[in-house]
Amino acid sequence: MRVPAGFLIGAALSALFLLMAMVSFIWTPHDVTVLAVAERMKVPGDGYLLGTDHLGRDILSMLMVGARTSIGVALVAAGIGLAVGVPLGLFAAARRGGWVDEIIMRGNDLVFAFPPLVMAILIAAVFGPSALNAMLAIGVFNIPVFARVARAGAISLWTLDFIMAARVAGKGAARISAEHIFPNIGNLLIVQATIQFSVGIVSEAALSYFGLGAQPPVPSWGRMLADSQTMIGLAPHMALIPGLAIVLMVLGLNLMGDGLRDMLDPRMRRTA
Amino acid sequence: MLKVEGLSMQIGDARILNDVSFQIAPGEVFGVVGESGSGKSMTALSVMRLEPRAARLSGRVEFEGRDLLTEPERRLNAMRGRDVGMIFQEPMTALNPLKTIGDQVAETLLVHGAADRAGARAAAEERLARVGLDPARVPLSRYPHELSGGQRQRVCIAAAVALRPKLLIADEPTTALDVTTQAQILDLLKDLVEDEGMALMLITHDLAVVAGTADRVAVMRGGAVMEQGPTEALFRARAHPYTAKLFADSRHVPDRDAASGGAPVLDVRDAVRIYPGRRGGLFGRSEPVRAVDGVSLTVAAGESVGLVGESGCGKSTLTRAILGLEPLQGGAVHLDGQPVVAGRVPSDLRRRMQLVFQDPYGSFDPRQKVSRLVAEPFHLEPVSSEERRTRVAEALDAVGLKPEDGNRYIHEFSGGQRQRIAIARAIVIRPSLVILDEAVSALDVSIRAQILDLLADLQRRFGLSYLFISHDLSVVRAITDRVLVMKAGQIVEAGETEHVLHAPAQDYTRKLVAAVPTLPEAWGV
Amino acid sequence: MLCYLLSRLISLVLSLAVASLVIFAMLEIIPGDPAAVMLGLNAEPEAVAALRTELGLDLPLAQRYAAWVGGMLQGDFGTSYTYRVPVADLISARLGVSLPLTLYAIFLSTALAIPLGVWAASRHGRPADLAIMGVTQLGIAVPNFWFAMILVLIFAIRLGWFASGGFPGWDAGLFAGLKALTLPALALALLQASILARVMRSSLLETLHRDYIRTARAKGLSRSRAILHHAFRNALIPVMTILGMQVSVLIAGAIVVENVFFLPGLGRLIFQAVTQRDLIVVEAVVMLLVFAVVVVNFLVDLAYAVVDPRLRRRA
Repeated sequence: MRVPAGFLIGAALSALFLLMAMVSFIWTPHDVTVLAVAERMKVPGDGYLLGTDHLGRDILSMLMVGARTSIGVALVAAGIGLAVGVPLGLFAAARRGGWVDEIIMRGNDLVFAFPPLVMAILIAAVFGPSALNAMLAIGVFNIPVFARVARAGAISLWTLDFIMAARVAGKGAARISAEHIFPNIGNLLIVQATIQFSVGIVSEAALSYFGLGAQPPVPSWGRMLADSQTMIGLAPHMALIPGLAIVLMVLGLNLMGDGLRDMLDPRMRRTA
Repeated sequence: MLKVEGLSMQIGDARILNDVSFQIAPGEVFGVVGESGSGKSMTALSVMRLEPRAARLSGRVEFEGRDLLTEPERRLNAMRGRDVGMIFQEPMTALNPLKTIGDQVAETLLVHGAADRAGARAAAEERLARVGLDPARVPLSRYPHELSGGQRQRVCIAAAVALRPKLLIADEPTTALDVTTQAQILDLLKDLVEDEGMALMLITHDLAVVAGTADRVAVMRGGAVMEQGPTEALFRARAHPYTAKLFADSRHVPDRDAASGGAPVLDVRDAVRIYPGRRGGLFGRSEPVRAVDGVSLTVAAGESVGLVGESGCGKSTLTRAILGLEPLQGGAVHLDGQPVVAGRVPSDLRRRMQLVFQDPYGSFDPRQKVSRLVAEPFHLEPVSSEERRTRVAEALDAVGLKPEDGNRYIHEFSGGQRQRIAIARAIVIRPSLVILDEAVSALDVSIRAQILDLLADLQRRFGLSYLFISHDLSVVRAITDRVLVMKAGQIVEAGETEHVLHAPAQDYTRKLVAAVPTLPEAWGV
Repeated sequence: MLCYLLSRLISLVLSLAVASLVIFAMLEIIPGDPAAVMLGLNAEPEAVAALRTELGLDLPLAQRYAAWVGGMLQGDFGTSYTYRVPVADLISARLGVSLPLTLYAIFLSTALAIPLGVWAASRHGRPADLAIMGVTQLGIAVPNFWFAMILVLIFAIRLGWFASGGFPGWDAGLFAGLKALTLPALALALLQASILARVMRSSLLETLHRDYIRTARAKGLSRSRAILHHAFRNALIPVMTILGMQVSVLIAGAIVVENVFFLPGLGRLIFQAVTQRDLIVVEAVVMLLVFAVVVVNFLVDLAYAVVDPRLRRRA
């Protein structure tokens, strides 16, 4: 199978950020908890590879630690969506057209009406802001996404003869869903998971930009941008660098997702 | 009028057409027959210059003196629809679902500037009436989804002949239709040729369709023309070995013994399946549909019974009810004397009936190996993995495959091989009854002949009973002892196959038998 | 058609009812007394008690829910604790910014995306297609609030063409108002336009492989005419689905972008309300946002029926 160039670029970018996050557990160029006002707002290259922020913290080190938060939140959120949404979608498809299906799909529409940010605002208003609440807010929004993908994929499979063959062999709906439907929608789910992972990265950044995500002093990409906003004229690198980090990470994940789809689904090769 | 000389087509490294040459005279019906992959459709598309974008053409396609391979796109657009019209196999998808049928017919006139809006509308009305869609009963404002397959194909024909083209190309125009509808559409095409002096290029896989329609015929295989000539002379002579083989395969009757008439294996008594009416909005429901309406039938041990009927007659519902996948509102199904009740079929009972599907592509989970696919019915019969392996190997061997094929995935097999695997799956646990749901309908004639032989052979070896569900009377004639004719949920006629098909007692059966295109006996078999 | 409309309408009302229950329940499960939460840690007990009475917290749960929903139905969203004015007044003033901003962004994104998508599809595999695919791939990856900051940096701080934020009010004239909303709308539209353009392109490419396009070509339509008359409308159906789904993302995006540009809209209001723990305002604005999403999805369902005759006769 030919591996698309986009997939390679995407995988390399994603791996780079994952590596940065991992390395940050044992080593960062500078300590992100130490403030050095004398070293503040240094431009990139001047003793610091990516410069320093308004409190004299090393931006590269903060990016590395921030990647940890971003990836962690997005991963858990995608996990919540998969773990809850896929069984719901499979169940709805097995009972397609019935009232169970109807309730699940209407419930999905309802959750869809609460964008992650609104959900996070609601949760934060109730419990106060934290990284955990950000995960929860994004994760809840992922549930209907996965439920829809799983249901749509499953329904198209249920009409095929091989499912009829399995029924003739006496298998029940649960067993058919597990043995035949789930493995055959795996591709769809993997692709959707990469997309939701990248949506999670952006959402987490937006939430921490608002102070609804990880709380200080834990660095996060979103708050680095929030901090830079008032100083954007004085120190544009403070805004540009974390923003570019988000763009590259998300771009990497999306390219990887598109590449995966092309590789896993021969039908898509025509149009994508 | 149309002169194709040395036409070749290449897509990538694959040679799709190889030096195809033929001519069509004005007012002539020219048949092109061949099995799937013979290049017959690609030839037609090349004449229209609607070949796939990746295709490279060479040779000459001369229409009224102009070489279409070198004409600019603008001139080709002006030619399509005005001088040459085309209709396709699948009427269900050939029309734009968002436009009315009137607009779609009128469009042909509007595109070529042949009429203003009102004129095009009037012409569309006249043309639709000409193809048998009376505007009083099927208004122009209908959308395609409101019409049946046959009606849609009529709309396609009306749009294609709206400007009275000199040549109409019909690519398998009746393959997706029921036999009676097929006969009507073929008659319509013949009428149009006569009335309007139009030439027809008829592409089909069915020798009998060509035999009854075409003046001259070309036999294609592997992208090349094997032979061509006047239909009757060519079919009588069968000079080319491939033509002879096609002929033999299409009329192939497997060698089998008549059933001994043992104890009944399957016994269906007064089965009734009613679907609740579709919900019409919030309140009322439409009338309930009696999909299966008091059907009784038996299949004896070692017997083959055919069940024929057109689409929507209730065949599939009956099949699912027999398999215990749909509840019955009345009557009962017994297999080997035990009742089959939907939702409560004990696995010992279920393992005694198996099913083979029409579509050899959709009936296998693409992610499992063949050995696992064939072993699926063992779900109903706990056996050691050792024994399971032996029996899967035996089943594969019985259908003419190698035991090693079990380690491969289904996409590595051809359509005919897949149907063999489907049969292996059905016989692996030695059922009493195998239901064959249009099991050979999607296959080319040569492969169909092999599968019919295989089925006859397996029946002899394992004493299987077959319930053969099909719309294709020639297949039913070849392999069944008795036949049941189903219409609108009821069995309208039943009896010995030869007897029913030769001397039908009911009007409907007579109509059905008469509609099947046949090769004239006089041409010799 | 009428049945379809009615069933969609019923589902709309049900969704709103359940959404209101969810929001109400969320604020009910606040650990501790909502009044105490709103007033903060150092609140006087008398003040808390007074607020409890004011919020009607002494009443039973069901009665409070009924009062809240009943009030909203009559346009009474309660009184903001921090602003000391009716929430309905706050909201209507803020809507004057948020609604035009959202519509502006939807207009910009569709006006950009549909021609771009059609163009890319008609140039499938050629440089124009690849360029559009590349740019939109990037557009999807750019977070809107960061893009907003970059727009400010370039067009406000460096070039000085626009103000870096704030809103002069519609009293300053239509042009001044629209000008102030231009950068925020652009920031919002980038993501939507990128997504829609890609969906438009792939949907059109998919449609071009359909049998009825071949039929149209056989009737003598040129490729571009077949695209325009047959493929385009069919290809719009999935685009509408995505547009409907993206509205909730767009509304969330508006909250973010309003804060970057210091626009006095609903987003800014809800954000301030959260920091000031003004639960009445949070409750009302969230309900309004959910209402907007549900209504837009209802409108998309209606649009389906207009475009697709197969839906019109279905119940």
